[in-house]
Amino acid sequence: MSQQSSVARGLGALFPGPSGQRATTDPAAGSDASSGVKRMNALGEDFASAVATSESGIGLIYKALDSLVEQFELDDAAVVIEEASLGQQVFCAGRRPLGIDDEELLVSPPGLYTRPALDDHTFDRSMMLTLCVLALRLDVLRYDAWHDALTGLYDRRSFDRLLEMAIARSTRYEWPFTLVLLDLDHFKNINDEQGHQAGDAALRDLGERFRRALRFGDNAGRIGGDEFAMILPNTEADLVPALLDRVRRTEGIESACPAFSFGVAQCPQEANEFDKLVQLADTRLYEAKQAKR
Amino acid sequence: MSPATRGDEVWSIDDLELELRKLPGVRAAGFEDADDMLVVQLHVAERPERINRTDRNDQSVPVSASRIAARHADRPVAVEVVRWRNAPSMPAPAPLPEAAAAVPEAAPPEPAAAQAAQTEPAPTATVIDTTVEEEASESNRTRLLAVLAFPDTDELEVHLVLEGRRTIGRAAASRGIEGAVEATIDAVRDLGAGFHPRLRWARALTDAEVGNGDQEVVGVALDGVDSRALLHYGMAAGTSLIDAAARATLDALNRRLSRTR
Repeated sequence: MSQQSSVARGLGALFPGPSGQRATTDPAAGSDASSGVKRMNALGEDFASAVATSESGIGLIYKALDSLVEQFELDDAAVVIEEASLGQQVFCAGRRPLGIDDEELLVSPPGLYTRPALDDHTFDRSMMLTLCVLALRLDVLRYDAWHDALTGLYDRRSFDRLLEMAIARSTRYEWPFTLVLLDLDHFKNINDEQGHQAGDAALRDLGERFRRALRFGDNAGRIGGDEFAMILPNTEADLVPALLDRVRRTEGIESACPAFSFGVAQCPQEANEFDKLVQLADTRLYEAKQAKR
Repeated sequence: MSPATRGDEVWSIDDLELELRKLPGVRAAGFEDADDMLVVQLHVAERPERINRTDRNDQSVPVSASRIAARHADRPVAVEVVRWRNAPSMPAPAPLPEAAAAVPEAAPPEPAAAQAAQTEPAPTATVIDTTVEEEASESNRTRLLAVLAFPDTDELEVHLVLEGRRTIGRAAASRGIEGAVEATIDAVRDLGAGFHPRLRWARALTDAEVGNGDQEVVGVALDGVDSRALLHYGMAAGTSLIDAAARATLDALNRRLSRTR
């Protein structure tokens, strides 16, 4: 088995083609340059397909590097890529930290780097590089699509999906959680009297406070103009005021916390359907707002 | 990537890595398991290359990285930030090569030459490394990995490593500088030190005394370091008082530490 076909088979196992038919593993394929290029093109199609359907581009980049190391029996491999919004990025096989010997990678131009040198000329480096860039780019786009650009929290769409998942888990495993709906007080006044920049600053401020105050496993999203929501697993409703007090007193943020009101609903104790849960929390939020007027 | 497509697993290391790489100037991220802790290493260019950013611009990378890591991880995390001050500005993004000629020939990365990696300690409750140069030449020296403060639980941790062995010293966070010194001594004790240092005093030096700009400077005096009953003094700068206090403690113990087993 030639080195080339080993690689094709190895990467092919990682990135199986849609049809399941793999020209890359055709043992009858010749060893001349043209058939080598054909093999890599087929591999490229599969890689591209995997990039488009995979949940994680970064994960694919590491899989490709690890496969390269394994199939070519390399000591190490790294790829340096340039992505439009992230700038130059270095990835090392095995997701390992960079050592002193790797510092040159940080100032190297985009490319595939291996130790020892990979002298198989049928291996299409430019294709791998292109697909790694594409994989990373898709990750960035997916991330941006699921997060609110202003606050960095989940946006409405992703939060709704998280809530659906939380309800499903709660129903299936009886894992309780509390849904908190929260909205800024007098947000319209902030915008009208201090300008929209001040309004945006208040929203960013609250988003940052959530990021700092919430535990691992808690999720927060901005679900509307000045509306936020949180999913708090294993948290009783009577603990929510203390949590929100911690949000108000978040250390390291000099500005005063914007005033807000909130309403809570517990799943599954009070409701275990999406609409009912949200409606219950929303009603309580409305009541809290009314009580302040 | 999307929470909707991950099934029951909301978190993955890929999400964490992407968020870290989105921080200004971050060029590389690496991960390592150490005991029950996840060690995250970030390499950061001196000058942020990205200008199209609105998030977290007001925070330093170490602080942001620590918060991101803590939010994503389900276990203790230490973040090491390595800054590359001397890295030349990168060339403009090159179009992806069509031909192999545009892609560098595969070659092993050359060992570090003239460019010395410089590291910068991070602010309180984070990071920190460690001098890469020292790592190369004096791997048997005790290194400070992290100083972590947890105000909510009034805990302060100092993480040390000597020849691959990590220890964690603890003290009350509310004790401030003294707590950082005591936690450092606690960690040194776990390294197997044959001496028993005690804190005599520790204090922060004022800007007027040291004129050190953004950094905090702490001086400490320890006894019990050797049999001559002498005080051992240490002084160090850090990005927070507790960071500086931990470094000053190591400075006071200085050459004694490489003998600990």
